[in-house]
Amino acid sequence: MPGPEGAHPDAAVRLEGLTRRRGERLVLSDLTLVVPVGVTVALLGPNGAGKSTLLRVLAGLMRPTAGVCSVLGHALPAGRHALRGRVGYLAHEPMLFRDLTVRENLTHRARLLRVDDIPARVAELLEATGLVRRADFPVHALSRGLTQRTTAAATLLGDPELLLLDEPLANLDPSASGRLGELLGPRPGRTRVIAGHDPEAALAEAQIVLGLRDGAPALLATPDRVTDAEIGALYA
Amino acid sequence: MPYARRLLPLTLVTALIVVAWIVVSTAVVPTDQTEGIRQRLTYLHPAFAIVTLIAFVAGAFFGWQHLKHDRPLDDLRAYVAIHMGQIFCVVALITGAIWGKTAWGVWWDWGEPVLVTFLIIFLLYATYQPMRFAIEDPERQARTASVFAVSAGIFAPVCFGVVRMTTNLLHPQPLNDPGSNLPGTAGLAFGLSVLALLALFITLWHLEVTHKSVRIRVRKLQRRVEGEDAVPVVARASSPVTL
Amino acid sequence: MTPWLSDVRAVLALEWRRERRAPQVLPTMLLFSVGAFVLFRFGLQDGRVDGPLAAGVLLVTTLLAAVLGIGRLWAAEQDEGGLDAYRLTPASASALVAAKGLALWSFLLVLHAVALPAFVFLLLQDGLDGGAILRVVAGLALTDLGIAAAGALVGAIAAAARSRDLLVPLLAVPLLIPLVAMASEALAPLLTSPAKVTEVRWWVGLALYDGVFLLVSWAVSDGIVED
Repeated sequence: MPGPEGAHPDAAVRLEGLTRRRGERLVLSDLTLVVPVGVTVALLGPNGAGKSTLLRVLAGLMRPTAGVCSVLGHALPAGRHALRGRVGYLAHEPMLFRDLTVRENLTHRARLLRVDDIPARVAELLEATGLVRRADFPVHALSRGLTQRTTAAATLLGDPELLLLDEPLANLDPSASGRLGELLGPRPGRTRVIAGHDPEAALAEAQIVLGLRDGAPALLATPDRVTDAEIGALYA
Repeated sequence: MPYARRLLPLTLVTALIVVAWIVVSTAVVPTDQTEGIRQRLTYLHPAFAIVTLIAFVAGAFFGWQHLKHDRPLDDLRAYVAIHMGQIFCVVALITGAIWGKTAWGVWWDWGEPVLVTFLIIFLLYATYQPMRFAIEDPERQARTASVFAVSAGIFAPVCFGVVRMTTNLLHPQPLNDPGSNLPGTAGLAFGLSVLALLALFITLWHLEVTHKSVRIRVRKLQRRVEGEDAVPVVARASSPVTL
Repeated sequence: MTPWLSDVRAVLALEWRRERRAPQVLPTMLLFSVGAFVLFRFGLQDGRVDGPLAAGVLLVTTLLAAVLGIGRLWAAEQDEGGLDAYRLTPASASALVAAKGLALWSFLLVLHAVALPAFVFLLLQDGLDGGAILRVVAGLALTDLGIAAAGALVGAIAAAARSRDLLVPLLAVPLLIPLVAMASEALAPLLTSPAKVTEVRWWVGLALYDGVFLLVSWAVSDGIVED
């Protein structure tokens, strides 16, 4: 279990006493964690525990209020501009333009992400997410599952080094779930933080388990050391 | 961090200047033969207008600081400057209307450029609190308010220039009007009025910033001592809630 | 092309594509403008206008139509999460604000391409002096640029709020009063037949207003896009 002490030049994420307030309300408190490159973190916790907030902070979309937060070697919030394009964030909301087609959305995002061969990359991801037949459908005509696949494709466009996934497999049928799970799965050099409500699945693919409760870390261990009782206490 | 210890000297100096201003403008300066007592409004109304503009420009400055350095304190400073400016603006409008009534026999003259400009600026700044209040996320609110403060603070002088350009100059310019034969003490009284109101503005601004930041810090301490849930969160506020 | 320019172009192209796919802003502004002209026709008791009155009717109608457009300008960014998506990319905040301003400017230019002939046909006393057409177009283009620069800013401020549609007119109208005042001075002599000459200072004033708001929008763009 990597601790906070010492230098971690190869850490993808390094948090020391990370605290985040929204106005007066404490959303994340005193979070300390080091995630080496290539590791998968499972983020567990009941609703409102601060999982999504943590992901947004790591994505550079929200500022930490106090503490050290270093992502891919850049201290936040000062270095957030250097992160742009290197972090993929799959959020709850689709972040897509509803009037545009799947292909248009992906192409536009790829342009802003400075992807090299845009048509090829878009076609590749359409293929991988099984969206080829729906590529020219406007997003508002898609079901939630298909929208989720489009969002996943958009997240992967720039081949990000750090993937922040907020319930990536929600609303998906089993075959899409398998396909997307593989696509969003581990790769050499790809670090992932996955928030979810399915402890079993999370434990199966993670190397670190972080449980949050009321914004504070309630559980931090490797999957083989996590007991059912601890998981139960987290959601109690 | 704003502390109260600068308040006492500030208050004393302000009181001194204000007293000097009142004495000079009521007792020292002779009553104007042609204009009568109304002329004494020169030592009240323009100063309010000038300090209003200074307040809004100060709001823009602090707003800009907030956008650049991302310190909540700067948002609080901008908020209080604009809030004070609004009050000074209302007084400037009212005294201006009184001036209009006594000088031209009307409470309001649409051909009067500076009066109209003030109304425009007042209308714009009147949306400051509703705008803040409509934004739920405190950080978003602070940043948007700073964007507003900067835009409006730059707009105010521009607006002045434009309205001056488009309408005929009716508004008296007692200081640079070559035909004016005000006695030398009038210049002193006018200068004192600006100085006094500026000092008053700075003191009140300092008082309000201190007051608000103390309240915020007391709540912070109370939360630390009694626990996060001991202090109910302000649901939605138009003024900054964090430092 | 620099990355900044290509980002601006990408977002501007997207705005137009969205407008073409689901027309919202342009038809609304157009229908409102023409409707207002017809309204003036009746309100002025079948009268026709020229000079300052004509300039006033045209400009105030433009301003109110623009307010409708400003309210929609950042709506998709806010409602559909486009702003977060944008902030995850290396594209800069100023590119987004610039593209929004350009989008609004182009919408307003298209609006005037239709609304100006409609105005001349419905309301203008003796028609438009042929020699003044270019100057009228230039005046409107400058006015539209000012509205677009201030509008991009106002739209962004209002977009953060829940009561977006109520806030836009409150913010936009005071900010645009000086612009309308100057544009009216610039256009009034041109809307008589034969056209008179506009004093140079109004052109300069319009250009200065545009410049100031372009500068302000650029300076605060980070504050708009950052959360």
